[in-house]
Amino acid sequence: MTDITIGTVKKAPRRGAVRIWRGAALPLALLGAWAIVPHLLSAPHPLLVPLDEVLAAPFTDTSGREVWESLVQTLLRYGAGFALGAVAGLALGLLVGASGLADRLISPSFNAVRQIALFAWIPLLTAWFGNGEGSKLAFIALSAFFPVALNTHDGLRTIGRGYMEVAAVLKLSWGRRVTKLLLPGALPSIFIGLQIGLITAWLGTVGGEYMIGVGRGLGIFIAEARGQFRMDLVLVGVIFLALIGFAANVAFRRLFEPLIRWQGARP
Amino acid sequence: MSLTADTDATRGLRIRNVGKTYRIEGRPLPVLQNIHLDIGPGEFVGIVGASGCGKSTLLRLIIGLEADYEGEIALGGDPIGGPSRERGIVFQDHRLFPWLTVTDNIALGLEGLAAAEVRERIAENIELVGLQGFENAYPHQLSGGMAQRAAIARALAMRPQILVLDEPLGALDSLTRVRLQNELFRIGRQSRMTMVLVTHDVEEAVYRSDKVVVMEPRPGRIKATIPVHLDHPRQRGSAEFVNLRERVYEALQY
Repeated sequence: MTDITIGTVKKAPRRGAVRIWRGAALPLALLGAWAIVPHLLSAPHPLLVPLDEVLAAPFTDTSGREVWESLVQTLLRYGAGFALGAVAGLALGLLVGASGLADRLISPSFNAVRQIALFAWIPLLTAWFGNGEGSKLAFIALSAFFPVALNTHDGLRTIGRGYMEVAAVLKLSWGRRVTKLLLPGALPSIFIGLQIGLITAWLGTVGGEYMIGVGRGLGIFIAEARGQFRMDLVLVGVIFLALIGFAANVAFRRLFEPLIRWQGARP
Repeated sequence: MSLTADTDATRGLRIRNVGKTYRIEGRPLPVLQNIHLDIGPGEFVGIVGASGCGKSTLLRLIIGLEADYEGEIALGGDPIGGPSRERGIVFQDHRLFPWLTVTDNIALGLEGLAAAEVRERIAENIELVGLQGFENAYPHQLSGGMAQRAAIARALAMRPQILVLDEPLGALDSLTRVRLQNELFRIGRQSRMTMVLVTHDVEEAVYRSDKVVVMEPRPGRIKATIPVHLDHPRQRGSAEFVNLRERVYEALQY
């Protein structure tokens, strides 16, 4: 048995650490200033809430504790909306990518509709689905749908003609053509679509909540806190938004990057 | 299977008056014209000719990758209307699916066979091309020669009646090339597989082939078909061999 080494990424730990600390210097300094400066003021300013109060709010404040319930609602909505939009986007992307007829029939309309700014859909959606959960889900789904469909289509289109000929010569069945050629071949591009979709769906989730406003969710939490001029709670909400967006991206990479290892040593 | 007499003429590959024209920016560009060729079962045919003489196109027609052509191509009396597992090809580039291991790439052409049969054929052909130990390697982990060997195994595993080879060994180092040529040739003889090899190597074509087809370009035509009736293994230095080789070289000059 011959050992095969898979290309490993060489890390330079010392230089990497230096770079991280250099990058972290500015945010840390700002955080430090935030922690100290408000306490030095003689009279508290409503826009300048001390860091420790913001951090304590989700645990000690009555209104602040509502952030947890909002968080759960937002995550559920985000997950459901993204799943809906991603599945629809994948389906459409695969259809127009695999069938020339579908491409010619659907793509022009798709490309026209895609030009509509995402938030311009909200008035339409609320008119169709009301101000409840339906509109929000549809909006999140829509925001994930476009990038996923687009990149899936693109991924299929760029599979080399040579591979298609191999599939023809080997007489691959339709099912095998999809599972052994089209899907894996388009996978890198599909992942990019899903990754972008994850980000746009997150924007859609918070934006939709904030603009439609009924029910619970982080966007609504922030909108209400702003309405009551609770700067500390607004900041609590913003911190959660940032953390979730970041976590979604990291989790996605961890989950899916191993699936495209075969790209390995491509020139 | 036809019920007519099972002679070489009916079982072999019959190419009659075949022409192929591409359209480049609306203007017709004939790439093959008036091709006549009979290839008997188990025959080894070498095709030589300058680049642009339509060698590869001819192979693609035999495989069924080009739908639109004039004339008649039939295998065993049945006209060729598309790809079939009876006809295998090894392309110039290996065209292994980069997301599948060597094993899974070879298994692609074995769809529909029993699992045990699939395993057996994979093992057999991996051994044949000398890729033991690389069963689970991905194409990017292989050298160019190894990848081409895997592609040959993929084509052989289907056990085609005809295997066409579009200069598949051109990019390999000479040692590997000679070894693989010997292997391929041995496999072809052993299994009575018909082989059509496109090559630039006249010496090699004369050394292996039952007949050498010399083609000329613009548009691609057959200039000469030179039968080689010499017993194997052939003596490269023998008078007959040298004589035949010179005839091929002469035909190549136009």
